[in-house]
Amino acid sequence: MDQAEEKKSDAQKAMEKLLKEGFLTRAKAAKCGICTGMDGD
Amino acid sequence: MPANSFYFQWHITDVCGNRCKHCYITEFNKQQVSLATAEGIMADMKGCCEALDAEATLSVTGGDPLTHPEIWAILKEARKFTKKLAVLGNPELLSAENIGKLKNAGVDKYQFSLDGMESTHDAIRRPGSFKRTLAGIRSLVQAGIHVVVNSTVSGINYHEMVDVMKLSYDLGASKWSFARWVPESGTCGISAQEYSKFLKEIFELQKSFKSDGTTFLAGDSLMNSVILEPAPCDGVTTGCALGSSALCVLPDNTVMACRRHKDSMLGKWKKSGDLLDFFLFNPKMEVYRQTDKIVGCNKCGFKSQCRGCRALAYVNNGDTFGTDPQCVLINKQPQKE
Repeated sequence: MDQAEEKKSDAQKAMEKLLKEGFLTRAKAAKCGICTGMDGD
Repeated sequence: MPANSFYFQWHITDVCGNRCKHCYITEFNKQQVSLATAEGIMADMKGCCEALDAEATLSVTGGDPLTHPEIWAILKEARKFTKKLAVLGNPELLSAENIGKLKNAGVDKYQFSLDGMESTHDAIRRPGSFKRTLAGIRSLVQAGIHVVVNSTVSGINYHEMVDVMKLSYDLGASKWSFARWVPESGTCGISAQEYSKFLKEIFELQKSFKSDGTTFLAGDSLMNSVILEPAPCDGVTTGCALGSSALCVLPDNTVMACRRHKDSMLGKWKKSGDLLDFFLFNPKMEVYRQTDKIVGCNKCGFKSQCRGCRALAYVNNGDTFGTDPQCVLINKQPQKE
């Protein structure tokens, strides 16, 4: 596996972990109007 | 359609005509991102979202973003990768010509700040700001651009927020929201008990303004304990965005996990791929995701939906995982502010 493929694979694994924990889906859930935690929404 | 969603808050300049008392810009260095760098950052935002299978929401702000000499080129480019494009700005430069340009650029919404009724707002911002803001809201509503009004709430103005909310909707705002002031240290000057009462009052009153044209507000993670039912579960479903699904970029290309959390600087954006790297692999982000370390939240039924404000916890306790000073579920004893 070359460096670029390895990086892509690491990113995929990290993303899957975040999805499992709910982190990455949080903003979508926030469409009900909950603040993003920042100004602007 | 992407499965996920990701929020970028991008401060393209720190040039601003105001010097608001609560502003988290402490050094107005007249920094602004160059167009070439801006194009690189936007390409990276797009790439980051593609890698995360996420739809991008982008808020372009400052300083006053309309002071940036390349604002129209930036918005035009931004619109190519997101339909959810907002400008968080000031009213001063909203000439008829610029309003037309905002519309042509496809800006979905424009956010103003109202931090109280006239005397309070002008004392926080500058004389005349209140009237200029109202005129700006009217002009954009008339032009068909969604207007959001956001209020920074603290001990000196929260009593006026009901009036500010009513005024905002009367003027035609699509949404009024609020966020607590994050001071350099300490709290925003409202006790947990007072804040809980405030949230309930706002929640009840806002219902009467809800219509097809308005968006239900929340504005604060702590509001979830008022509007939602407890939902104990592992992980997060909504609430504080720290470490979650958002990044902030400053005019000098510093990337932060949250603009309000002053210790959340992750590094400088330098090249394509940096945003995804910061989000997925930055050690601070990995720490922020250890939500089991948050003092007082583990046994709370709202943890997956709330977790308080970590920025306020940090300035109050010196610890990101400290208690949120306005959480009434943790701070049951009356506080002296």
